[in-house]
Amino acid sequence: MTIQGVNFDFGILGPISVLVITGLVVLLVDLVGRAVPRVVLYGIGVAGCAGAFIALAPLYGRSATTVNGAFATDRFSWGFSAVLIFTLAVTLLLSSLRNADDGNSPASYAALLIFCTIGGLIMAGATTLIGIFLGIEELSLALYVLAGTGYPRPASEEAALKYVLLGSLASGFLIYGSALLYGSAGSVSLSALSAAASSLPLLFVIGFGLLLVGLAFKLALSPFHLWTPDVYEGSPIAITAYMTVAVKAATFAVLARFVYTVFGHDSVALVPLWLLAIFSMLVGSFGALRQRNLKRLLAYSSIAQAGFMVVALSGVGEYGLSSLLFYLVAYALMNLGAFAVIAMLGDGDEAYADIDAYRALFYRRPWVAVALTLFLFSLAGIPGTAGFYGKVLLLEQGFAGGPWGIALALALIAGSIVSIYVYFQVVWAMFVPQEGEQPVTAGNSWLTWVPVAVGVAGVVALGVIPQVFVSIVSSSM
Amino acid sequence: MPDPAWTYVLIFFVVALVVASLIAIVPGIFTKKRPTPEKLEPYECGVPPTSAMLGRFPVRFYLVAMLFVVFDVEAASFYPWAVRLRDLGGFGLLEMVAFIVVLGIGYAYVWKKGGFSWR
Repeated sequence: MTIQGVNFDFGILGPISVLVITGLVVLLVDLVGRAVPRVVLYGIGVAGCAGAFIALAPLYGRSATTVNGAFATDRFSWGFSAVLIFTLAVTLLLSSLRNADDGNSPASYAALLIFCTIGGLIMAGATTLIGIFLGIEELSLALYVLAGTGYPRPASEEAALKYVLLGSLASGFLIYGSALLYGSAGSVSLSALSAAASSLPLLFVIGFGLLLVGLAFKLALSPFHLWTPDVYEGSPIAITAYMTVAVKAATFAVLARFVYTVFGHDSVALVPLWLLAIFSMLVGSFGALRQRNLKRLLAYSSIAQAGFMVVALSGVGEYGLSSLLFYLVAYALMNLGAFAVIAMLGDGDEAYADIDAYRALFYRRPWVAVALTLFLFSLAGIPGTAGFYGKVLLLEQGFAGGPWGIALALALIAGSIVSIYVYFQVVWAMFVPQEGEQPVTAGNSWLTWVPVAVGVAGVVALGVIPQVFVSIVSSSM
Repeated sequence: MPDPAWTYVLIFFVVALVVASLIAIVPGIFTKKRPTPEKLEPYECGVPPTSAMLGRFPVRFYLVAMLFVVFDVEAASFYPWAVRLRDLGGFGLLEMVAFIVVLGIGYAYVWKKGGFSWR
Protein backbone atom coordinates (compact mmCIF):
# COMPACT_ATOMS: atom_id res chain seq x y z
CA MET A 1 0.00 0.00 0.00
CA THR A 2 1.46 3.37 -1.01
CA ILE A 3 0.08 6.53 0.53
CA GLN A 4 1.40 10.01 -0.27
CA GLY A 5 4.61 8.56 -1.66
CA VAL A 6 5.26 6.44 1.46
CA ASN A 7 4.80 2.71 1.15
CA PHE A 8 3.42 0.77 4.10
CA ASP A 9 3.56 -2.99 4.55
CA PHE A 10 1.45 -3.71 7.59
CA GLY A 11 2.62 -7.32 7.54
CA ILE A 12 6.17 -6.23 8.33
CA LEU A 13 4.92 -3.75 10.92
CA GLY A 14 2.55 -6.42 12.34
CA PRO A 15 4.39 -7.38 15.56
CA ILE A 16 4.86 -3.71 16.47
CA SER A 17 1.20 -2.90 15.75
CA VAL A 18 0.03 -5.83 17.90
CA LEU A 19 2.16 -4.67 20.83
CA VAL A 20 1.00 -1.03 20.49
CA ILE A 21 -2.61 -2.18 20.68
CA THR A 22 -1.78 -4.48 23.63
CA GLY A 23 -0.22 -1.60 25.55
CA LEU A 24 -3.23 0.62 24.96
CA VAL A 25 -5.66 -2.19 25.91
CA VAL A 26 -3.80 -2.71 29.20
CA LEU A 27 -4.19 1.00 30.02
CA LEU A 28 -7.86 1.03 28.98
CA VAL A 29 -8.71 -2.06 31.03
CA ASP A 30 -7.21 -0.46 34.10
CA LEU A 31 -9.05 2.78 33.27
CA VAL A 32 -12.47 1.20 32.86
CA GLY A 33 -12.26 -1.62 35.37
CA ARG A 34 -12.30 -1.16 39.13
CA ALA A 35 -9.19 -2.49 40.93
CA VAL A 36 -8.26 -4.93 38.17
CA PRO A 37 -5.98 -7.65 39.63
CA ARG A 38 -2.50 -7.34 38.24
CA VAL A 39 -2.43 -10.95 37.07
CA VAL A 40 -5.16 -9.99 34.57
CA LEU A 41 -3.16 -7.00 33.29
CA TYR A 42 0.03 -9.02 32.94
CA GLY A 43 -1.99 -11.82 31.36
CA ILE A 44 -3.16 -9.40 28.67
CA GLY A 45 0.47 -8.48 28.14
CA VAL A 46 1.53 -12.13 27.76
CA ALA A 47 -1.38 -12.70 25.35
CA GLY A 48 -0.12 -9.68 23.39
CA CYS A 49 3.32 -11.33 23.23
CA ALA A 50 1.70 -14.46 21.80
CA GLY A 51 -0.16 -12.29 19.27
CA ALA A 52 3.03 -10.44 18.33
CA PHE A 53 4.79 -13.77 17.82
CA ILE A 54 1.95 -15.00 15.59
CA ALA A 55 2.35 -11.80 13.55
CA LEU A 56 6.12 -12.32 13.47
CA ALA A 57 6.12 -16.02 12.49
CA PRO A 58 5.11 -15.63 8.80
CA LEU A 59 7.94 -13.12 8.30
CA TYR A 60 10.56 -15.86 8.84
CA GLY A 61 12.91 -16.09 5.89
CA ARG A 62 11.39 -13.03 4.25
CA SER A 63 13.60 -10.12 3.33
CA ALA A 64 11.88 -6.82 2.61
CA THR A 65 11.72 -3.19 3.63
CA THR A 66 8.86 -0.81 4.28
CA VAL A 67 8.25 2.88 5.06
CA ASN A 68 10.43 3.79 2.05
CA GLY A 69 13.29 1.54 3.13
CA ALA A 70 13.47 2.87 6.69
CA PHE A 71 12.36 -0.36 8.35
CA ALA A 72 13.55 -3.80 7.31
CA THR A 73 12.66 -7.37 8.04
CA ASP A 74 15.19 -10.11 7.37
CA ARG A 75 16.37 -13.26 9.11
CA PHE A 76 18.62 -11.15 11.32
CA SER A 77 15.93 -8.79 12.61
CA TRP A 78 13.51 -11.73 12.87
CA GLY A 79 15.78 -13.49 15.35
CA PHE A 80 16.27 -10.39 17.47
CA SER A 81 12.55 -9.61 17.44
CA ALA A 82 11.75 -13.15 18.61
CA VAL A 83 14.25 -12.82 21.50
CA LEU A 84 12.76 -9.44 22.49
CA ILE A 85 9.17 -10.72 22.51
CA PHE A 86 10.21 -13.80 24.51
CA THR A 87 12.03 -11.58 27.03
CA LEU A 88 8.94 -9.41 27.42
CA ALA A 89 6.77 -12.46 28.13
CA VAL A 90 9.21 -13.81 30.75
CA THR A 91 9.52 -10.39 32.39
CA LEU A 92 5.74 -10.08 32.67
CA LEU A 93 5.60 -13.55 34.26
CA LEU A 94 8.29 -12.66 36.79
CA SER A 95 6.56 -9.35 37.55
CA SER A 96 3.33 -11.08 38.53
CA LEU A 97 4.91 -12.79 41.55
CA ARG A 98 3.46 -11.92 44.93
CA ASN A 99 6.32 -9.77 46.24
CA ALA A 100 7.41 -8.28 42.92
CA ASP A 101 7.98 -4.51 42.81
CA ASP A 102 5.74 -2.84 40.31
CA GLY A 103 5.27 0.48 42.06
CA ASN A 104 1.64 -0.45 42.94
CA SER A 105 0.65 0.64 39.46
CA PRO A 106 0.58 -2.59 37.45
CA ALA A 107 -1.16 -1.11 34.39
CA SER A 108 1.40 1.60 33.73
CA TYR A 109 4.19 -0.85 34.64
CA ALA A 110 2.98 -3.42 32.09
CA ALA A 111 2.29 -0.74 29.45
CA LEU A 112 5.76 0.75 29.91
CA LEU A 113 7.36 -2.69 29.53
CA ILE A 114 5.39 -3.26 26.34
CA PHE A 115 6.31 0.18 24.93
CA CYS A 116 9.93 -0.56 25.84
CA THR A 117 9.82 -3.70 23.74
CA ILE A 118 8.29 -1.78 20.84
CA GLY A 119 11.36 0.46 20.99
CA GLY A 120 13.52 -2.66 20.84
CA LEU A 121 11.61 -4.01 17.83
CA ILE A 122 12.09 -0.66 16.05
CA MET A 123 15.82 -0.89 16.77
CA ALA A 124 15.98 -4.44 15.40
CA GLY A 125 14.62 -3.35 12.02
CA ALA A 126 15.67 0.29 11.71
CA THR A 127 17.87 1.08 8.72
CA THR A 128 18.19 4.84 9.21
CA LEU A 129 19.88 6.88 11.91
CA ILE A 130 16.54 8.48 12.79
CA GLY A 131 14.83 5.12 13.23
CA ILE A 132 17.71 3.89 15.39
CA PHE A 133 17.54 6.95 17.65
CA LEU A 134 13.76 6.76 17.89
CA GLY A 135 13.93 3.11 18.96
CA ILE A 136 16.72 3.67 21.49
CA GLU A 137 14.88 6.59 23.08
CA GLU A 138 11.60 4.71 23.33
CA LEU A 139 13.41 1.79 24.95
CA SER A 140 15.40 3.97 27.34
CA LEU A 141 12.76 6.46 28.46
CA ALA A 142 10.42 3.69 29.58
CA LEU A 143 13.26 1.83 31.33
CA TYR A 144 14.30 4.92 33.32
CA VAL A 145 10.87 4.86 34.96
CA LEU A 146 10.79 1.09 35.37
CA ALA A 147 14.18 1.11 37.15
CA GLY A 148 12.55 3.21 39.86
CA THR A 149 9.39 1.16 40.42
CA GLY A 150 10.89 -0.46 43.53
CA TYR A 151 10.13 3.00 44.92
CA PRO A 152 10.35 2.88 48.74
CA ARG A 153 13.68 1.06 48.48
CA PRO A 154 16.35 3.80 48.26
CA ALA A 155 18.49 1.58 45.99
CA SER A 156 15.75 1.61 43.36
CA GLU A 157 15.49 5.41 43.42
CA GLU A 158 19.26 5.62 43.14
CA ALA A 159 19.18 3.21 40.20
CA ALA A 160 16.56 5.27 38.37
CA LEU A 161 18.44 8.53 38.92
CA LYS A 162 21.81 7.10 37.84
CA TYR A 163 20.25 5.45 34.82
CA VAL A 164 18.41 8.57 33.64
CA LEU A 165 21.42 10.88 34.10
CA LEU A 166 23.98 8.66 32.39
CA GLY A 167 21.47 7.38 29.84
CA SER A 168 20.56 10.87 28.68
CA LEU A 169 24.24 11.75 28.46
CA ALA A 170 24.70 8.70 26.23
CA SER A 171 21.72 9.78 24.13
CA GLY A 172 23.40 13.15 23.69
CA PHE A 173 26.51 11.45 22.30
CA LEU A 174 24.34 9.29 20.10
CA ILE A 175 22.32 12.12 18.54
CA TYR A 176 25.37 14.32 18.03
CA GLY A 177 27.24 11.46 16.38
CA SER A 178 24.22 10.79 14.17
CA ALA A 179 24.11 14.46 13.15
CA LEU A 180 27.79 14.41 12.15
CA LEU A 181 27.33 11.15 10.25
CA TYR A 182 24.42 12.74 8.42
CA GLY A 183 26.65 15.69 7.65
CA SER A 184 29.36 13.46 6.20
CA ALA A 185 27.06 11.41 3.97
CA GLY A 186 24.15 13.76 3.27
CA SER A 187 21.68 11.01 4.12
CA VAL A 188 20.39 9.28 7.23
CA SER A 189 20.16 5.84 5.64
CA LEU A 190 22.85 3.36 6.62
CA SER A 191 23.42 2.17 3.06
CA ALA A 192 24.24 5.75 2.00
CA LEU A 193 26.77 5.97 4.84
CA SER A 194 28.82 3.10 3.45
CA ALA A 195 30.14 5.38 0.66
CA ALA A 196 31.58 7.71 3.29
CA ALA A 197 32.94 4.73 5.25
CA SER A 198 35.22 3.68 2.40
CA SER A 199 37.20 6.95 2.42
CA LEU A 200 36.76 7.76 6.15
CA PRO A 201 36.49 11.58 6.06
CA LEU A 202 37.14 13.34 9.38
CA LEU A 203 33.47 14.20 9.92
CA PHE A 204 32.53 10.53 9.54
CA VAL A 205 35.23 9.37 11.95
CA ILE A 206 34.17 11.84 14.67
CA GLY A 207 30.50 11.01 14.10
CA PHE A 208 31.10 7.27 14.30
CA GLY A 209 33.21 7.74 17.42
CA LEU A 210 30.42 9.61 19.19
CA LEU A 211 27.82 7.09 18.03
CA LEU A 212 30.00 4.26 19.31
CA VAL A 213 30.31 5.94 22.73
CA GLY A 214 26.53 6.23 22.90
CA LEU A 215 25.97 2.59 21.96
CA ALA A 216 28.72 1.43 24.35
CA PHE A 217 26.92 3.24 27.18
CA LYS A 218 23.71 1.37 26.39
CA LEU A 219 25.56 -1.95 26.01
CA ALA A 220 27.54 -1.32 29.21
CA LEU A 221 30.83 -1.90 27.43
CA SER A 222 33.76 -0.96 29.65
CA PRO A 223 34.86 1.86 30.31
CA PHE A 224 31.27 3.07 29.89
CA HIS A 225 29.96 0.45 32.34
CA LEU A 226 30.17 2.32 35.64
CA TRP A 227 26.41 2.74 36.00
CA THR A 228 25.71 -0.94 35.39
CA PRO A 229 26.26 -2.65 38.78
CA ASP A 230 24.32 -0.03 40.73
CA VAL A 231 21.42 0.15 38.29
CA TYR A 232 21.14 -3.63 37.95
CA GLU A 233 21.34 -4.12 41.71
CA GLY A 234 18.81 -1.42 42.55
CA SER A 235 16.15 -2.12 39.94
CA PRO A 236 13.35 -4.60 40.68
CA ILE A 237 14.49 -8.10 39.79
CA ALA A 238 12.20 -8.58 36.77
CA ILE A 239 13.39 -5.27 35.31
CA THR A 240 17.03 -6.26 35.86
CA ALA A 241 16.38 -9.48 33.95
CA TYR A 242 14.74 -7.46 31.17
CA MET A 243 17.61 -4.95 31.01
CA THR A 244 20.36 -7.56 30.82
CA VAL A 245 18.72 -9.32 27.86
CA ALA A 246 16.42 -6.96 25.96
CA VAL A 247 18.56 -3.81 26.01
CA LYS A 248 21.62 -5.81 24.97
CA ALA A 249 19.73 -7.64 22.22
CA ALA A 250 18.24 -4.48 20.73
CA THR A 251 21.48 -2.49 20.93
CA PHE A 252 23.46 -5.36 19.43
CA ALA A 253 20.96 -5.48 16.57
CA VAL A 254 21.73 -1.81 15.89
CA LEU A 255 25.48 -2.22 16.27
CA ALA A 256 25.67 -5.31 14.04
CA ARG A 257 23.46 -3.79 11.36
CA PHE A 258 25.55 -0.62 11.43
CA VAL A 259 28.86 -2.49 11.19
CA TYR A 260 27.68 -4.83 8.43
CA THR A 261 25.78 -2.28 6.33
CA VAL A 262 28.09 0.71 6.68
CA PHE A 263 31.50 -0.99 6.72
CA GLY A 264 30.82 -4.40 5.19
CA HIS A 265 34.47 -5.33 5.77
CA ASP A 266 37.04 -4.95 8.49
CA SER A 267 37.95 -1.29 8.83
CA VAL A 268 40.46 0.65 10.87
CA ALA A 269 37.53 2.68 12.24
CA LEU A 270 36.35 -0.42 14.10
CA VAL A 271 39.53 -0.74 16.20
CA PRO A 272 37.99 1.29 19.09
CA LEU A 273 35.13 -1.21 19.17
CA TRP A 274 37.55 -4.13 19.46
CA LEU A 275 39.41 -2.33 22.27
CA LEU A 276 36.14 -1.68 24.12
CA ALA A 277 35.30 -5.38 23.83
CA ILE A 278 38.67 -6.60 25.15
CA PHE A 279 38.43 -4.14 28.03
CA SER A 280 34.86 -5.24 28.85
CA MET A 281 35.71 -8.93 28.92
CA LEU A 282 38.52 -8.36 31.40
CA VAL A 283 36.78 -5.73 33.57
CA GLY A 284 33.53 -7.73 33.67
CA SER A 285 35.20 -11.02 34.58
CA PHE A 286 37.57 -9.62 37.21
CA GLY A 287 34.93 -7.26 38.59
CA ALA A 288 32.60 -10.18 39.29
CA LEU A 289 35.22 -11.94 41.43
CA ARG A 290 34.46 -10.23 44.71
CA GLN A 291 30.72 -9.65 44.41
CA ARG A 292 28.57 -11.01 47.22
CA ASN A 293 25.25 -10.03 45.66
CA LEU A 294 24.01 -12.25 42.88
CA LYS A 295 22.33 -9.40 40.97
CA ARG A 296 25.56 -7.44 41.09
CA LEU A 297 27.53 -10.51 40.09
CA LEU A 298 25.29 -11.03 37.08
CA ALA A 299 25.65 -7.32 36.25
CA TYR A 300 29.43 -7.69 36.00
CA SER A 301 28.96 -10.94 34.12
CA SER A 302 26.70 -9.15 31.63
CA ILE A 303 29.48 -6.60 31.00
CA ALA A 304 31.81 -9.48 30.12
CA GLN A 305 29.10 -11.19 28.04
CA ALA A 306 28.59 -7.99 26.00
CA GLY A 307 32.31 -8.05 25.28
CA PHE A 308 32.08 -11.72 24.24
CA MET A 309 29.29 -10.92 21.79
CA VAL A 310 31.37 -8.25 20.05
CA VAL A 311 33.80 -11.05 19.08
CA ALA A 312 31.10 -12.29 16.67
CA LEU A 313 31.53 -9.07 14.69
CA SER A 314 35.34 -9.23 14.55
CA GLY A 315 36.59 -9.21 11.02
CA VAL A 316 32.99 -8.65 9.86
CA GLY A 317 33.01 -12.30 8.77
CA GLU A 318 30.44 -14.19 6.76
CA TYR A 319 28.98 -16.11 9.71
CA GLY A 320 29.34 -13.30 12.21
CA LEU A 321 25.63 -12.48 12.36
CA SER A 322 24.65 -16.13 12.79
CA SER A 323 27.15 -16.59 15.64
CA LEU A 324 25.94 -13.41 17.30
CA LEU A 325 22.33 -14.51 17.11
CA PHE A 326 23.12 -18.02 18.40
CA TYR A 327 25.02 -16.63 21.36
CA LEU A 328 22.29 -14.10 22.06
CA VAL A 329 19.59 -16.80 22.13
CA ALA A 330 21.76 -18.87 24.49
CA TYR A 331 22.42 -15.80 26.65
CA ALA A 332 18.72 -14.93 26.79
CA LEU A 333 17.80 -18.46 27.92
CA MET A 334 20.49 -18.82 30.58
CA ASN A 335 20.31 -15.29 31.94
CA LEU A 336 16.51 -15.13 32.12
CA GLY A 337 16.62 -18.60 33.69
CA ALA A 338 19.07 -17.48 36.38
CA PHE A 339 17.00 -14.39 37.16
CA ALA A 340 13.83 -16.49 37.25
CA VAL A 341 15.46 -18.69 39.91
CA ILE A 342 16.44 -15.64 42.00
CA ALA A 343 12.91 -14.27 41.65
CA MET A 344 11.35 -17.65 42.48
CA LEU A 345 13.22 -18.16 45.75
CA GLY A 346 12.04 -14.86 47.17
CA ASP A 347 8.69 -14.93 45.36
CA GLY A 348 9.74 -11.75 43.56
CA ASP A 349 11.35 -10.27 46.66
CA GLU A 350 14.92 -8.96 46.76
CA ALA A 351 15.90 -11.17 49.71
CA TYR A 352 17.48 -13.84 47.51
CA ALA A 353 19.95 -11.52 45.84
CA ASP A 354 22.59 -12.16 48.50
CA ILE A 355 24.97 -15.05 47.91
CA ASP A 356 24.71 -16.22 51.54
CA ALA A 357 21.05 -17.08 51.01
CA TYR A 358 22.16 -19.81 48.61
CA ARG A 359 24.23 -21.75 51.16
CA ALA A 360 23.27 -25.43 51.08
CA LEU A 361 20.35 -24.64 48.81
CA PHE A 362 20.70 -28.08 47.22
CA TYR A 363 19.53 -29.77 50.44
CA ARG A 364 16.46 -27.55 50.70
CA ARG A 365 15.38 -27.11 47.06
CA PRO A 366 17.34 -29.65 45.00
CA TRP A 367 15.65 -29.01 41.64
CA VAL A 368 16.02 -25.25 41.91
CA ALA A 369 19.69 -25.64 42.80
CA VAL A 370 20.28 -27.97 39.86
CA ALA A 371 18.55 -25.56 37.45
CA LEU A 372 20.58 -22.59 38.71
CA THR A 373 23.76 -24.67 38.44
CA LEU A 374 22.95 -25.46 34.84
CA PHE A 375 22.40 -21.76 34.02
CA LEU A 376 25.65 -20.76 35.74
CA PHE A 377 27.56 -23.56 33.96
CA SER A 378 26.16 -22.29 30.68
CA LEU A 379 27.18 -18.71 31.49
CA ALA A 380 30.68 -20.00 32.30
CA GLY A 381 30.78 -22.01 29.07
CA ILE A 382 31.03 -25.60 30.36
CA PRO A 383 30.77 -28.21 27.55
CA GLY A 384 27.31 -29.67 27.02
CA THR A 385 25.54 -26.36 27.59
CA ALA A 386 24.35 -23.65 25.22
CA GLY A 387 27.01 -21.22 26.42
CA PHE A 388 29.81 -23.60 25.43
CA TYR A 389 28.74 -23.99 21.82
CA GLY A 390 28.01 -20.26 21.61
CA LYS A 391 31.56 -19.50 22.70
CA VAL A 392 32.92 -22.02 20.20
CA LEU A 393 31.12 -20.15 17.41
CA LEU A 394 32.43 -16.81 18.70
CA LEU A 395 36.01 -18.13 18.87
CA GLU A 396 35.70 -19.41 15.32
CA GLN A 397 34.81 -15.88 14.20
CA GLY A 398 37.64 -14.40 16.24
CA PHE A 399 40.37 -16.70 14.94
CA ALA A 400 39.19 -16.12 11.36
CA GLY A 401 39.22 -12.35 11.82
CA GLY A 402 42.83 -11.18 11.47
CA PRO A 403 45.12 -9.90 14.25
CA TRP A 404 42.39 -8.01 16.11
CA GLY A 405 40.10 -11.02 15.90
CA ILE A 406 42.81 -13.22 17.44
CA ALA A 407 43.37 -10.66 20.21
CA LEU A 408 39.62 -10.67 20.89
CA ALA A 409 39.50 -14.46 20.92
CA LEU A 410 42.38 -14.65 23.40
CA ALA A 411 40.64 -12.09 25.64
CA LEU A 412 37.49 -14.22 25.43
CA ILE A 413 39.39 -17.28 26.62
CA ALA A 414 41.03 -15.32 29.48
CA GLY A 415 37.71 -13.80 30.53
CA SER A 416 35.99 -17.18 30.44
CA ILE A 417 38.63 -18.80 32.66
CA VAL A 418 38.24 -16.08 35.28
CA SER A 419 34.46 -16.23 35.10
CA ILE A 420 34.45 -20.00 35.70
CA TYR A 421 35.80 -19.26 39.18
CA VAL A 422 33.12 -16.58 39.67
CA TYR A 423 30.22 -18.90 38.88
CA PHE A 424 31.71 -21.84 40.79
CA GLN A 425 31.69 -19.78 43.98
CA VAL A 426 27.90 -19.72 43.78
CA VAL A 427 27.63 -23.40 42.82
CA TRP A 428 29.99 -24.28 45.68
CA ALA A 429 27.84 -22.39 48.15
CA MET A 430 24.74 -24.26 46.98
CA PHE A 431 26.19 -27.76 47.28
CA VAL A 432 28.29 -27.63 50.45
CA PRO A 433 26.18 -28.82 53.41
CA GLN A 434 25.84 -26.37 56.25
CA GLU A 435 24.94 -26.71 59.92
CA GLY A 436 22.62 -24.45 61.81
CA GLU A 437 19.86 -22.11 60.85
CA GLN A 438 19.20 -21.66 57.15
CA PRO A 439 17.15 -19.00 55.39
CA VAL A 440 13.65 -20.04 54.45
CA THR A 441 12.80 -19.97 50.76
CA ALA A 442 9.45 -18.44 50.10
CA GLY A 443 8.15 -19.02 46.64
CA ASN A 444 7.34 -21.94 44.44
CA SER A 445 5.01 -20.27 41.96
CA TRP A 446 4.36 -22.15 38.71
CA LEU A 447 4.71 -18.78 36.95
CA THR A 448 8.46 -18.89 37.54
CA TRP A 449 8.72 -22.58 36.76
CA VAL A 450 7.70 -21.75 33.17
CA PRO A 451 10.75 -19.59 32.34
CA VAL A 452 13.02 -21.89 34.39
CA ALA A 453 11.79 -24.97 32.50
CA VAL A 454 12.03 -23.24 29.12
CA GLY A 455 15.52 -22.06 30.06
CA VAL A 456 16.68 -25.52 31.14
CA ALA A 457 15.25 -27.15 28.01
CA GLY A 458 16.77 -24.48 25.78
CA VAL A 459 20.21 -24.49 27.39
CA VAL A 460 20.43 -28.29 27.15
CA ALA A 461 19.05 -28.44 23.61
CA LEU A 462 21.36 -25.70 22.32
CA GLY A 463 24.28 -27.39 24.03
CA VAL A 464 23.63 -30.98 22.93
CA ILE A 465 22.19 -30.61 19.43
CA PRO A 466 23.41 -27.16 18.35
CA GLN A 467 23.44 -28.02 14.62
CA VAL A 468 19.64 -27.89 14.49
CA PHE A 469 19.58 -24.36 15.86
CA VAL A 470 22.54 -23.07 13.88
CA SER A 471 20.54 -23.51 10.68
CA ILE A 472 17.53 -21.74 12.20
CA VAL A 473 19.52 -18.72 13.32
CA SER A 474 21.74 -18.60 10.22
CA SER A 475 21.09 -15.05 9.24
CA SER A 476 21.90 -12.38 6.78
CA MET A 477 20.60 -8.92 6.10
CA MET B 1 34.96 25.87 -1.27
CA PRO B 2 31.67 25.38 0.60
CA ASP B 3 28.30 25.75 -1.02
CA PRO B 4 27.72 29.49 -1.82
CA ALA B 5 24.23 29.21 -0.30
CA TRP B 6 25.94 29.04 3.10
CA THR B 7 27.36 32.55 2.53
CA TYR B 8 24.04 33.95 3.77
CA VAL B 9 24.44 32.04 7.01
CA LEU B 10 27.91 33.51 7.40
CA ILE B 11 26.56 37.05 6.73
CA PHE B 12 23.81 36.42 9.28
CA PHE B 13 26.36 35.36 11.90
CA VAL B 14 28.60 38.39 11.29
CA VAL B 15 25.68 40.85 11.43
CA ALA B 16 24.32 39.20 14.59
CA LEU B 17 27.74 39.35 16.24
CA VAL B 18 28.32 43.01 15.33
CA VAL B 19 24.85 44.21 16.34
CA ALA B 20 24.85 42.28 19.59
CA SER B 21 28.31 43.57 20.53
CA LEU B 22 27.29 47.16 19.74
CA ILE B 23 24.16 46.91 21.87
CA ALA B 24 26.15 45.46 24.74
CA ILE B 25 29.15 47.80 24.59
CA VAL B 26 27.95 51.22 23.35
CA PRO B 27 25.58 52.07 26.25
CA GLY B 28 28.38 51.30 28.70
CA ILE B 29 30.58 53.94 27.05
CA PHE B 30 28.06 56.78 26.61
CA THR B 31 25.75 56.57 29.67
CA LYS B 32 26.20 58.07 33.11
CA LYS B 33 25.58 55.60 35.97
CA ARG B 34 23.27 56.86 38.74
CA PRO B 35 22.33 53.70 40.69
CA THR B 36 19.34 53.64 43.07
CA PRO B 37 18.23 50.71 45.25
CA GLU B 38 15.34 49.99 42.87
CA LYS B 39 17.62 49.87 39.85
CA LEU B 40 19.91 47.35 41.51
CA GLU B 41 17.14 44.84 42.23
CA PRO B 42 16.76 41.79 39.98
CA TYR B 43 14.24 42.49 37.22
CA GLU B 44 11.07 40.46 37.66
CA CYS B 45 8.64 42.16 35.26
CA GLY B 46 7.94 45.05 37.68
CA VAL B 47 6.97 42.84 40.60
CA PRO B 48 9.10 43.31 43.73
CA PRO B 49 11.06 40.10 44.41
CA THR B 50 9.63 38.30 47.42
CA SER B 51 11.98 35.46 48.29
CA ALA B 52 15.45 34.09 47.69
CA MET B 53 16.03 32.68 44.20
CA LEU B 54 17.73 29.46 45.21
CA GLY B 55 14.88 28.05 47.27
CA ARG B 56 13.38 24.56 47.04
CA PHE B 57 10.35 23.90 44.87
CA PRO B 58 7.65 21.35 45.71
CA VAL B 59 8.00 18.30 43.50
CA ARG B 60 4.48 18.73 42.07
CA PHE B 61 5.73 21.65 39.98
CA TYR B 62 7.88 19.16 38.10
CA LEU B 63 4.88 16.93 37.44
CA VAL B 64 2.93 19.88 36.04
CA ALA B 65 5.91 20.96 33.95
CA MET B 66 6.35 17.45 32.57
CA LEU B 67 2.69 17.12 31.62
CA PHE B 68 2.83 20.57 30.05
CA VAL B 69 5.82 19.63 27.92
CA VAL B 70 4.14 16.39 26.78
CA PHE B 71 0.91 18.02 25.69
CA ASP B 72 2.64 21.10 24.33
CA VAL B 73 4.82 19.04 22.03
CA GLU B 74 1.79 17.03 20.94
CA ALA B 75 -0.04 20.26 20.11
CA ALA B 76 2.96 21.51 18.14
CA SER B 77 2.80 18.46 15.90
CA PHE B 78 -0.71 19.47 14.82
CA TYR B 79 0.61 22.53 12.99
CA PRO B 80 2.42 20.88 10.07
CA TRP B 81 -0.53 18.53 9.66
CA ALA B 82 -3.02 21.43 9.61
CA VAL B 83 -0.98 23.29 6.99
CA ARG B 84 -0.90 20.28 4.67
CA LEU B 85 -4.41 19.04 5.53
CA ARG B 86 -5.82 19.17 1.98
CA ASP B 87 -2.82 17.46 0.38
CA LEU B 88 -2.72 14.65 2.92
CA GLY B 89 -6.41 13.92 2.36
CA GLY B 90 -8.29 11.08 4.02
CA PHE B 91 -5.17 9.20 5.05
CA GLY B 92 -3.80 12.26 6.85
CA LEU B 93 -7.07 12.60 8.72
CA LEU B 94 -7.06 8.91 9.72
CA GLU B 95 -3.43 9.16 10.81
CA MET B 96 -4.25 12.16 13.01
CA VAL B 97 -7.29 10.39 14.43
CA ALA B 98 -5.07 7.43 15.41
CA PHE B 99 -2.59 9.88 16.94
CA ILE B 100 -5.31 11.62 18.94
CA VAL B 101 -6.75 8.29 20.11
CA VAL B 102 -3.36 7.23 21.49
CA LEU B 103 -2.92 10.67 23.05
CA GLY B 104 -6.49 10.58 24.38
CA ILE B 105 -5.95 7.26 26.14
CA GLY B 106 -2.84 8.67 27.78
CA TYR B 107 -4.76 11.82 28.75
CA ALA B 108 -7.63 9.84 30.23
CA TYR B 109 -5.17 7.64 32.13
CA VAL B 110 -3.36 10.62 33.66
CA TRP B 111 -6.70 12.23 34.56
CA LYS B 112 -8.12 9.09 36.18
CA LYS B 113 -4.92 8.51 38.15
CA GLY B 114 -5.12 12.05 39.55
CA GLY B 115 -2.19 13.48 37.64
CA PHE B 116 -3.97 16.83 37.24
CA SER B 117 -5.08 17.29 40.83
CA TRP B 118 -2.97 19.55 43.02
CA ARG B 119 -2.06 17.38 45.98
